[in-house]
Amino acid sequence: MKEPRPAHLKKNIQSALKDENLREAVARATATALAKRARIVDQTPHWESLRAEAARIKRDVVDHLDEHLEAFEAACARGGIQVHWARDAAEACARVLEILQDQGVTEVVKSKSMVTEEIGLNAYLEAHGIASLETDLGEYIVQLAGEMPSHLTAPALHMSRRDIGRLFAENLGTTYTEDPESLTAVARERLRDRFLSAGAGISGVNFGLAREGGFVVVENECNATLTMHLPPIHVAVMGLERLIPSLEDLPVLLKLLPASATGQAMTSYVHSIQGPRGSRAVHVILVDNGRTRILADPDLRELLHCIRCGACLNGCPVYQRVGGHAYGWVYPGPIGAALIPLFLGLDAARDLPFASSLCGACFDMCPVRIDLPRHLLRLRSDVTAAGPIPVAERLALRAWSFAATRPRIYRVLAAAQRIWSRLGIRMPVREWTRTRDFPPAAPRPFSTLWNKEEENA
Amino acid sequence: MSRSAREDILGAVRSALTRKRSDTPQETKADPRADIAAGIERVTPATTEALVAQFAGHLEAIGADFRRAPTAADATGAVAEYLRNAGARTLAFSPAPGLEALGSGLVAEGFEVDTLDENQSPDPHARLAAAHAAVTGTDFALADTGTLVFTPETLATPLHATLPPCHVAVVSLRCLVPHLWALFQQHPEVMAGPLFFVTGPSRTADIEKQLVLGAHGPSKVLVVGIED
Repeated sequence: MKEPRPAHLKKNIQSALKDENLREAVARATATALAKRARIVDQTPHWESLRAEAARIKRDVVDHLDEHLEAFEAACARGGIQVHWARDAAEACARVLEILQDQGVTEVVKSKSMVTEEIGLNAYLEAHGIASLETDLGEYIVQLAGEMPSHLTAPALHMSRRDIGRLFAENLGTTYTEDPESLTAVARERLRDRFLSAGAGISGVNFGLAREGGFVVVENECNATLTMHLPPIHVAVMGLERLIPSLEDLPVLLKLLPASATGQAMTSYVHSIQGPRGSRAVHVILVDNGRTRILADPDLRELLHCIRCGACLNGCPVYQRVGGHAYGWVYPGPIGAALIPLFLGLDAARDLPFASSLCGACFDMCPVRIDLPRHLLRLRSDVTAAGPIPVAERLALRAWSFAATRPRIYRVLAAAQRIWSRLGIRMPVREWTRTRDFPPAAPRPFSTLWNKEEENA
Repeated sequence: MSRSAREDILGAVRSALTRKRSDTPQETKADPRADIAAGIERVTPATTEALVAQFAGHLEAIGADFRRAPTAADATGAVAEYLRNAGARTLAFSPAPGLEALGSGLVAEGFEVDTLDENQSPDPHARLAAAHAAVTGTDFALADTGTLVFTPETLATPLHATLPPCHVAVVSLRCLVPHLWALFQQHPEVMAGPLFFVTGPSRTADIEKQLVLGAHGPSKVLVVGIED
């Protein structure tokens, strides 16, 4: 599997920027999603209040997470749902495997779940002889291609219809077509039998219900319906922060999530599952895997409010240009730039908090009002505090502070720079100017203009 | 293993929460809930007729069809025509109160109607998947999104509505509520059990954001609103 890594951010970005197809696909997809979202926001006079209320709901959950987790576990048990706890990715995978092996399951179908990507569940199951098939069309496509999803809600957003047509023709032996309707029909037909024969279905969770026990799953394709209801066993994997206090909080979140994710007023299917139906068994795996570490940081705790809608990706000028793979791990975009260093450690992702223009679009988009720019700034200061600053940068900054605090020297240097730029001499900072324009100096310095203003006044 | 994962995690959560947040909750409006209630009121149609029109409008916008009839029995002709146009001959019929006449009407129209009796055949899933269309009742409907709401009493499993490629859902217009808030307020008992919400056909836009109906579920959905 070809996987870019977060430590190679700059290289990832450079190759993404060179990929014209990728840039076009990502730009078109994010623009579509943004336009559809904007239409719903326009029709919702109370949009900002919905966001404020959702922020309050998630804050309440996270600030009383222990109580909500215990309530959730007890309520699930009453409804016949078995709850399992997993400290890390390895433990989460092992719990799933135990459940499957206990029932002799060799084949599972999966619906979309970011946390299963995070814990590497597919690779783990395959290594233990269990075939794990993604059934969301986008996930099915990236699994066939041996890639990672590049968007939280539109996993194959980086691929063109031609890419997908070729992929299907090569891997499924079907005749080449790039018609989305035909390609979707191929996937439907291929997957239908697998749904019927799978020994278990694995899903994610959008909202765990602390009071009622059980959980809510939101989807469009109907693959989650079949994943959760066709096989005799259903295993739902969730990050332990993905709770809401009760079903009564669902109306607010159901107004925000589909609108923010895909610009829909409502997704085609919403499931509120409160226990097994008939003879089926339902399991929930509660995954920590670093979440309690984020919780322990009172400043960054807010990142656990995320409902994984992907709106911050669509709105981000960086994501719009480089797509999701450049971020190098499961969670792309602004939320990924903040979460990846926290999940993998600052050392593994030092550059990621800097992969943002801090324009604030992500904050404006976020349905639960996570102040992403603030968190990215905090992580930047962590990176700077933790690691050595390059010698050149340190010297340059020291020189700058020397000149900037001495007006006479500053004026001389500024005059020199004006002459320089008028003569067309490039600044000797190629690494910096390769991707940026060095702004030409204004013909007359600000101090001169200011003095003139003073005189006129 | 010294301590269980459960104890370890809950312990870590509790110790993490001893540190209080440095920021205060962001306040945009003094009382977001009051503003939400006011906003909903502003966008909610005032009359029942307008509510039905909103419901029908949403269904149309998302690629579903809508018909009205005085009773379920009166809808037989329209349903039969819709099913024939969809190429459906065999029907997976979820019996529900009020649907008996429609069921026998469809049999009379020449459709093969399977009432999904679990004892009839060992593999109901295969039968369901082979059926050309599902015919079901509906517990409630939400006008503001064109959503159908099913409890287990009306739909034993979501599969009964989603395995066949076409779904005809009959809903009493008396069970049409403006939105999900209203459903939970007026019928709090539904929150005690599982719920299944269906809004139009199954859909995907995973290939270049182009909308395709019928990804893994029905590509055709007909909602029949009953007046009585």
